[in-house]
Amino acid sequence: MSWDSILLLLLWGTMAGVDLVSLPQGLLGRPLVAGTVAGLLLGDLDVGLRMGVVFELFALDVLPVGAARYPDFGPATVASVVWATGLDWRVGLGPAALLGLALAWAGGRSMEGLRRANGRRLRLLEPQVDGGDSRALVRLQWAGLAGDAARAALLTAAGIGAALLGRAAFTVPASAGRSLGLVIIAGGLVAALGGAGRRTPSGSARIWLGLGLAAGLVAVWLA
Amino acid sequence: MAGLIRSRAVLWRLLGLQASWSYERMQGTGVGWAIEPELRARFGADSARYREALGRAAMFFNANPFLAAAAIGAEARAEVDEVPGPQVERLRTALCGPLGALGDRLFWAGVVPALGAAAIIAVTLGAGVWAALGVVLLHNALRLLLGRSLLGLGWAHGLRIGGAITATSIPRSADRAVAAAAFLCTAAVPIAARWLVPGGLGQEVVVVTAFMAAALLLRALLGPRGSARRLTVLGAVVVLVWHWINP
Repeated sequence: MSWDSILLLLLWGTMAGVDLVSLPQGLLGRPLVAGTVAGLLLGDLDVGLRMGVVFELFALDVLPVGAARYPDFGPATVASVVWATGLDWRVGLGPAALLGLALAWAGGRSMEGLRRANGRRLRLLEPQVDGGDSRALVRLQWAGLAGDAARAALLTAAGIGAALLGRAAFTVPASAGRSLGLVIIAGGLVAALGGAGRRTPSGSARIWLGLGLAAGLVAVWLA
Repeated sequence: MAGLIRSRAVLWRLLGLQASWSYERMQGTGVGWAIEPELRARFGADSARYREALGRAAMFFNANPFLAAAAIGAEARAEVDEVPGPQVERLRTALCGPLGALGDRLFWAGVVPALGAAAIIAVTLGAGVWAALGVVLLHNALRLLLGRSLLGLGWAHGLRIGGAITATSIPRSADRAVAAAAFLCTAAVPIAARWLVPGGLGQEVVVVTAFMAAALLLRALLGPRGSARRLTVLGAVVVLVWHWINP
């Protein structure tokens, strides 16, 4: 992999990570989007799409509301695509997605750290903020944005490094890789089902859960 | 009275509403930053009034980021109408819950998962890059149009913004979005499974189905501790140990 590719992936992973909360929350960090672009950058769109779909299934189980801790799938998906690129996706998906799940968890943790750092900066500038000093607000905004960019860049860099190291150092036997991939896929499907149920706890919308599942099964049967 | 003077600047700044999110004030400092151009345009000549309004705007606030425009429009109007400071603060506090609940339902439980699931289905049908592009374009078009509309609504209704939002189609749209998400997310499950595990009813499908059944059972037993991600990692460890013992 060339340094140009690594730099582009680092930039894209950072953008996807910053998009999660800070700017612009435009769904650039959704796994399907992050995976597709990473696959395009690496010239392996099929792997990008497949990793994107798997992590999108996991992301359907996430409700990113308020102060809740939630995983950061953007940089994680980029790193997973790096691992799986050029491999038979059935074998590469499992170990790559395991790395991605760990990174997504670490991303969620790092977001908590960033929020505490924002709070520390706020306490330092509190008299100015309460006094209506616009420069203090600008400083807080830019510092928060820079902190998030650094967080996302570090996460992406660590992920790309771990993916390249993992590919080189750990040779997973094909049968183990396939089994691992199946477990990850099954986990994603459970996440999507569980998320749909959690977001629709009661009321008439629950009917749509059953109708959707039935429609999906019919579509598969007809295909 | 004419509309907001700096509505475009406020809308652009709303994209970075959560850049300085902290546990102390949550989105408060972001709201202060977003509303600042309007306050400067209105009160720039009166430094004390400008600072008083901006200090108030940067206090605690937390709602759904895509619906916060309504609160910002209403607060700007209240400030321009010389509403007493404590009343403006009560308005902000009162809007947090409803705007948070409605926006979370519309976006996080409706639009976003619906788009994600639709994109999964589109990829399995061969849409490729267009699926991702469609998600980004649709979501951003919706949130920008809604943001502009809510900013104007907040400005038009000021302190009565709560009732004005209830009278819009947003609550009904949220219900429809949740129903659409429920349908698409569950429909995506068998379709994605077929795409990721091709090969009819072979051994691989049996393995996936068995793991799913076990995971759903454990999830029901363990509650929130049995998240799909944890159960997946647990399953992966079991698989790796199994293959290590039986190479």
